[in-house]
Amino acid sequence: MSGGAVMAENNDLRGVTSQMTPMIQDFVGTSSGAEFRNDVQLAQYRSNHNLELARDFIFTRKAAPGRKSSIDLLKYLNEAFMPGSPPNRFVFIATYGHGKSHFAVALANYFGKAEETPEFKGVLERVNHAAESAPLIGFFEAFKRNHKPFLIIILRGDEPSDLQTKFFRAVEEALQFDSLTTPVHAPFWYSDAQRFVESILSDSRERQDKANAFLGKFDLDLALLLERVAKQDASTYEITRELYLHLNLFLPDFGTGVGLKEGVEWLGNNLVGENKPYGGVLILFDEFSSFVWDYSLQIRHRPGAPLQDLLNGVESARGKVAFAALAQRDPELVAKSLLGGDSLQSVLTQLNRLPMPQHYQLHSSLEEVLDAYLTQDCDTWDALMTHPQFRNAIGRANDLTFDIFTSRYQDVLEWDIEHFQEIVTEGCFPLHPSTTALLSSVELEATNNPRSVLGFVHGQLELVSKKEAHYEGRPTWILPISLVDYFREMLGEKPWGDFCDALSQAGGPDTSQGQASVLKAMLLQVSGRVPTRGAYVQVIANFAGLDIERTKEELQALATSGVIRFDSVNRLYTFWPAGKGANKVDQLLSEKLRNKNLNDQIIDSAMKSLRQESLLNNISVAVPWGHPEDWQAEQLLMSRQVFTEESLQAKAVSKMTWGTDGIERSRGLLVWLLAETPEDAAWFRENADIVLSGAFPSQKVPIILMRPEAAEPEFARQLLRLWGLDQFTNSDRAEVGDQQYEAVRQLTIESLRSGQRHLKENAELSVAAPFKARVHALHLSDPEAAMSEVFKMAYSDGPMRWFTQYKLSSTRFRNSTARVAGYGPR
Amino acid sequence: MGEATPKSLATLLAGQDLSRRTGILELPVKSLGLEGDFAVGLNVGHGDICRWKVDRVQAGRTRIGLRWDGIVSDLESITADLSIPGYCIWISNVDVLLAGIPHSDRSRFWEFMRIAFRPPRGLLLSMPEKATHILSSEERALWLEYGRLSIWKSDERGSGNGGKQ
Repeated sequence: MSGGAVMAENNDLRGVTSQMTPMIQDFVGTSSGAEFRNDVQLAQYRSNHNLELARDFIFTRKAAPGRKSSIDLLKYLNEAFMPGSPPNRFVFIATYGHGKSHFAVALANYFGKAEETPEFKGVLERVNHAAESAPLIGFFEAFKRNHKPFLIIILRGDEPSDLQTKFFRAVEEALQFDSLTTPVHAPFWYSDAQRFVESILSDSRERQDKANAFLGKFDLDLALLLERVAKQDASTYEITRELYLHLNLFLPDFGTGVGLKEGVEWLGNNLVGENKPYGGVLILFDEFSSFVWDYSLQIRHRPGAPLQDLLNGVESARGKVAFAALAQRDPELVAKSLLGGDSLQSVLTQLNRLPMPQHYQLHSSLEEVLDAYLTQDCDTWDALMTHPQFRNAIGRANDLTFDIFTSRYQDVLEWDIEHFQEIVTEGCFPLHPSTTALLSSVELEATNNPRSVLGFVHGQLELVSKKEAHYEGRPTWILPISLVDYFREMLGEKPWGDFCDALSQAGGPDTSQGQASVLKAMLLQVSGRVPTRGAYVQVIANFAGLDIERTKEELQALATSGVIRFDSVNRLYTFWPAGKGANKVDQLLSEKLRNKNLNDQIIDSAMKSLRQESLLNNISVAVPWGHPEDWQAEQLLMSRQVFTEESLQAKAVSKMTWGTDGIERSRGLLVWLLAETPEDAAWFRENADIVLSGAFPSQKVPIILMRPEAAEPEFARQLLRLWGLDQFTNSDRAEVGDQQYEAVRQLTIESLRSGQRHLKENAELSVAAPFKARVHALHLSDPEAAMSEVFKMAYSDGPMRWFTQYKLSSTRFRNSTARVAGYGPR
Repeated sequence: MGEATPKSLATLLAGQDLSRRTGILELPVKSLGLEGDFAVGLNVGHGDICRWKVDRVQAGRTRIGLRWDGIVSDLESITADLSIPGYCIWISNVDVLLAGIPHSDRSRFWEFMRIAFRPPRGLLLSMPEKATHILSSEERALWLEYGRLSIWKSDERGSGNGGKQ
């Protein structure tokens, strides 16, 4: 953060001075330093930007598991030039936008510049700051003291030439660059070849014509040949030798030839060591993935194995030469994605010269880069933080994000929450802290259309720059879900595919904003492998910028319609695999429910399914004279259409009248009245007691009505859905997918389970007239407690107490009764 | 991603979102040769690679020595030429040079431009419409898919208002 600016003030029309809320652009800016450009290229080591770049690379010492920090990698490269046989061929891997090339520029300056140069000092300062420990700092300083500057050879995968041309051209560039301080003549082929072609051009016309006639078959003339030789174009090596043969009748040896192994060895043997100009040779290969891509595609058309040749040379020059490739993806994966069979084997054999243990994933602390990139005015920020709602919102987002990403920040980077707030929450504002954390932890997959992290920040900042810093206390954040619109398939091919499928099922362009936000948040959770630890909804709400209740509703709605899947074991939601969504279940269900309403038959059928799921089971009622399990009340659901005097009487007869058939029935009924509409609810309020007393005038029938205070259309809808799902035949289930069917059914059951709790909380208890006074007097609102009292009144002429600890069906009860009656064993 | 407008493509290439800042602008045949005028409307610089090449060929040369990698090197040199202004440069007539190299090398050229080439500034190459012998349909589809190919409408003026907005 930077200080100095004054918060905007405004005199309003009534002459009252009031502070306006600043706009984002009033206090947030971006660093203009070249170090934060996303197009840093290693070639800039030899440009005017180099000093700036050298000073500004931020080294890190800590690294996430499976990764290496830039300090670690620097140390490995140092060790490659120490006695023994340390590894000297490396691959440093990082996806686009994570500072790979900038790191390579820092390496080039560390090794290539003399100890007293500002470039080296700039790098060393950053190294020492990150290294922290005195022994490590001492190690780097001592290494530099004991080594002369290195020859830095920069190879580029984004340059369209074969490896021999790249290498010798890079060597020549490096030697030319150092020629003022370290003049070296390298006896490579192109020096002799160039001298030879120049000699013809200064020779007789006749000889030139003879040469040009010969070169015509290669679509060349002497001038063009000279131009290409001067650019170390390896394809002209043999042509020049043949021209020599044509003119002089023998084949010459131009220097060391185009052999890469010999070239590397010559550098190591002749330029490195005591009384020699360099302390070592470092070959840095930028854009190595692009090189491997091109190299793989051309494998059949290329003679020899130049990469193997080069790496063999590096291997044989251990202690003097090291090779570091900078790649977006592991080179073997690039080759495997393009080739198969013998061609692949050939490339892999060559790539094996880069031993797998030395393939390192570069860790970068993007948070610190973003903190340095985004500059906030301290005074304005402090003023904003005096706003209680703003401060609280910042604090909540800070704490929740720190909790969500605790393994990264607390365990790996060893940050405390104050440091997190300083770097991420405040230092990267207006990025929401979770946006920064996700940006820093999600591996963006490389595609043909990679987008940069800083490109995202820059674009989003423009979008919010003219917005006020907060709206009614809520900070104007760049929310995590913005990442989805920008990075798209780079968030991972499979999660992106699953997300697109879900979005399309949810309505495509017609998807509501809330549901689209929730789906995007889910994609981020999957893509970033964000642990939720039982707080899935909070995490999704945090990413989506929605409150928790709203998020819960949207998730349930999406799951109910089969767009996403609810995992009841882990209490989280997941995408269906692309193309295997559960919307087919929903489609068939809609067909089955066409023109269907909740009638008695449907309710009874659904009730059976609910009881199998332990919902609306019979209630065991505590009575003084017997075992609760012998005195049960059955729970029923009745809709307005079904709830009549006649049906109530019929229920009482069928459910409570014990006959001679030996079937045990219940002793009472607990009836949940189901209001599908507000009119139903009003009707129940007016008529429930009337229907009850009409059905059983002056009779003590133990029935309790649970009258809804408001309509519960969702419960009714889910009940109908459950019935509909139970109508699926085996072939229906096979068609829509058994797993998908079960997921939707389970979700429906879960909805009904929470719906029943809601019913209970929002229902008023009503009993027949003979029981009313006592139930009211005791202020009973819990149906189970009320049922106990109702039973006492309804069964006041009932049995005496008799072994109440035993159920009627228990053997002990029967034996005791038999004993008393004189029929049993004494 | 689909087809971009000429203006949005030029803006994308001029920015820093892409690591490979190369794009193609297809022109109707009757608009060829007018790229310099159109470039002003798109706020990009303009260079003619044929003229650039001819200017640099020494007198008396009998061969120009066209190769796909040589064309790439020339494009890199032009984009590095600071006498041409702009964060993005529109280079015309590259199709003329490509017509002089073998078919297989044209594919190499386009693949390289799409995947590997990193110009120091945004690079927009103009291509005549329906020149499938220079830019194959398969390769064209890839550029289009990644939002790096735009079609110049015959009524376009380069102001950003024409074309598909």
